[in-house]
Amino acid sequence: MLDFVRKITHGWVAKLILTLVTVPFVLFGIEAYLKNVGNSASVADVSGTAPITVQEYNVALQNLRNELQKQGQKDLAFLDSYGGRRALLDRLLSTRLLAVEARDQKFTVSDAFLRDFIVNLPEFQEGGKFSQTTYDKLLAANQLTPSQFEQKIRGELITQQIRDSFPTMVTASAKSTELALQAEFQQREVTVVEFKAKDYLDQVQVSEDESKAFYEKNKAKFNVPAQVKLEFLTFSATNLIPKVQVTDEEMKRFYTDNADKFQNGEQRHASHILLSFTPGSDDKAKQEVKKKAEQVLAEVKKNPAKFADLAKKYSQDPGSAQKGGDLGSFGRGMMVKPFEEAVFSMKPGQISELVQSDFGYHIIKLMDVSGQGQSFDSLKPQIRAELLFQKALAKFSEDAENFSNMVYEQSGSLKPTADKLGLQTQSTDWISFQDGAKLFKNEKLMSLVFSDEVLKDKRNTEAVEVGQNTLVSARVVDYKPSAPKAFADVKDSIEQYLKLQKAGKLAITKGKASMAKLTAGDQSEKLDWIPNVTIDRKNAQGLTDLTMRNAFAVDTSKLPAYKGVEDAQKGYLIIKVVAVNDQLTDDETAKQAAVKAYRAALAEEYSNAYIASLTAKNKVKVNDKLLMSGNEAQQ
Amino acid sequence: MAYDLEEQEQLETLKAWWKRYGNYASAALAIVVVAILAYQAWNYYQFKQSVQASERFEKLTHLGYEDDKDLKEIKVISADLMENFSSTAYAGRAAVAVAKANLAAKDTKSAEAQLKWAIDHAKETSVRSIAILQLAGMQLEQKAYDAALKTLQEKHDDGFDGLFFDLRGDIYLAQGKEAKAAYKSALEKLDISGRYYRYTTIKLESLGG
Repeated sequence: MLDFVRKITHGWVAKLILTLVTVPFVLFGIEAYLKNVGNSASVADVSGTAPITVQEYNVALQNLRNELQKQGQKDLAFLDSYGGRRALLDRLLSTRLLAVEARDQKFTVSDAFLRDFIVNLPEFQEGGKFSQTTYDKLLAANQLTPSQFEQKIRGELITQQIRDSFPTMVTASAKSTELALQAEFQQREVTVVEFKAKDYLDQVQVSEDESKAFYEKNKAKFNVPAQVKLEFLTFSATNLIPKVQVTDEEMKRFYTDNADKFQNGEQRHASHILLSFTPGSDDKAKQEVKKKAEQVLAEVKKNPAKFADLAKKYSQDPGSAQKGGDLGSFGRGMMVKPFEEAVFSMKPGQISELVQSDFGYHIIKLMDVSGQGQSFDSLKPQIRAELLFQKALAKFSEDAENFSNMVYEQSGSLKPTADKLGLQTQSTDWISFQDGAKLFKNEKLMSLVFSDEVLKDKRNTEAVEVGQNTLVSARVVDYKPSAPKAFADVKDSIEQYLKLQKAGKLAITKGKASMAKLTAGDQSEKLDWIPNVTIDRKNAQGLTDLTMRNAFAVDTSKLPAYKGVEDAQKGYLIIKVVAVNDQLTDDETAKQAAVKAYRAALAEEYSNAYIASLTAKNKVKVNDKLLMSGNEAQQ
Repeated sequence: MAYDLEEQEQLETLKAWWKRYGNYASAALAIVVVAILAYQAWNYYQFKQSVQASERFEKLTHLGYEDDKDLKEIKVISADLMENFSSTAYAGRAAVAVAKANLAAKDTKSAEAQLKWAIDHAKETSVRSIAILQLAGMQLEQKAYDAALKTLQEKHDDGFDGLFFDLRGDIYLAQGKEAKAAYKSALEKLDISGRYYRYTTIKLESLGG
């Protein structure tokens, strides 16, 4: 197959024909494809080639998702973030750009190389050798013709060739490497002195006027949101429970109606004597049977101990007569209804009256009861609760509309509604919108409370369903508009804040003054320097983050070098660099590793620069909006 | 065969036209055909060149840079590509690759010549950009600072701006000159999520930001 392709593609004429045939096809093919996708927009346009469409992007996203899931990655949320999506797009784009570049620069791979690659793909190997059958089968399964497949692989190989060979061309110059590593391994002997704001607290004063001025200026920050005192009425099924009654009878009926549920585990062992109707017999014939049955019953009653013998003698149930009428044990739902009801209402040893079923007249003897059924008495509290709730719920459904109407119609007060339905109004302390939303677990009610109609016109809110089977209507009793806290209430905290600020400023002023002397070369001032420590970027030796971040950013062209760092809250920090050691580490392994890391980073930067150049050259335009989320909708 | 008069007349006109211009028309047609064929032949030739160059280049990329035997082979293959396949993009890549091998073997003279060849002949502007950076890096190594700075003035792909500024900073630093501005410009252009960004950051920091 491959040889065949090779022969064709090597033929001079065939090459021409192929070019002529494929070029228009490619052009038309692309256009038709775009039309097919219809309004599916392009996620990124690349001049000189097809854009990356939403469809194509989504397929890639799905593939990536599957791939990650296969690797056992659980948290795939980043795929839904802009960052994650952009990263995937960049990957698709770089492949697309390389393909365009390969086309423009006429990069290619030879047939021999392509064949070697395909023949060695593990997917097509059978027992360590390339198998033509497997190859054909796999391609057919993917709906690819060999030439389509080979073209695809060729494209990938070319892309791989030009992408992978790019960074390998890079040499990191020894001097550049040295400069970078010097910065990386540089050691600095430093010391610091801190001017802490809190050390200056007792040196500053804040007058009441200052606090007051601050308060006036920042009033908005001390605002307390508007508050209301509410009166409200809750109408819920739960609240109605005390108002409903349940009789013993209702409970019993409930027990029998739900007998299946409660007595599932119970088995009853019974025997019977059946006097059966002949199929299609009329009432008169049935009367006859009944008469006969009554005679048998009388005989049984006279001599209950001989039930089995009598069954053998009279019973017309072919299945049980010979066994003395014994039916064995059975649970509910296994016998016809009238029979079952009789059996399950008898006491062991008892013999029933005549029981009529579709089969005829039964005389039943209950032999034994086994297994657990729950008795009515043990279930009574449970049934009671259930029934009470059912009734309350029924009453709630019945009166819910009533409640809603009443609070609306008599909107000037909640009292009439409360009286009519026997409810209690409740009231709240001062609450804000947020407090109320938390209290009622409902924002809608609070929005209504703060509506003009309720707030200004003092009307009831409409009935709001704040939970399952729970309606609430509220009215405003009192209202406090949004206002700043009183000065007296916040005075202390303002004072503290201002003091700290002043102390910070003082610390900074002192620090700066000392710093100025130091930079002028005057080291006479007695400062509280910590003992000198030698640090490098990886060893802070207990210094703070702030110090570390700044210690290596001190200009050390003259030693000792100083740097002042301001922090409005904390005060001032002077870092003094006493010595700089540019000597690279003695640790050869560490040095080798660092050189390797530097070279890798540089090569990577070259690759990035390559892709960046191709991006600029091909005027890539990314439709960021599509990546923002919700683009699945367009799938 | 009853041509009517009008048709007869048209046919006569056509015959007269052919008699007069027939040769030109045939010649024009022939030229078009030849041009098409020549164009196709040129395409085919280029394709064939590209395939052969690709095979050679593929071999080249699988050689190491620090082995003497490999070095010899790299030299042979890249010379072949630069001489016989100079119209392909592979030639430029081969030139940069062999320069790297020569640099590793401390043969700076050959490396310089090859990098200069790549700067003049590489089909890919990105490969040209690498060659410029490599040449400047080599000159920095030789302490030929002015030559290195001059090399960096060559036109290059915008994507490489960050690396150009960074190397400029290195040269200034090696010269003992002010390098901060160059590093700052580099940080504006380098890939902020790339690993190299940190190196430039700390170099700048060490100079006092």
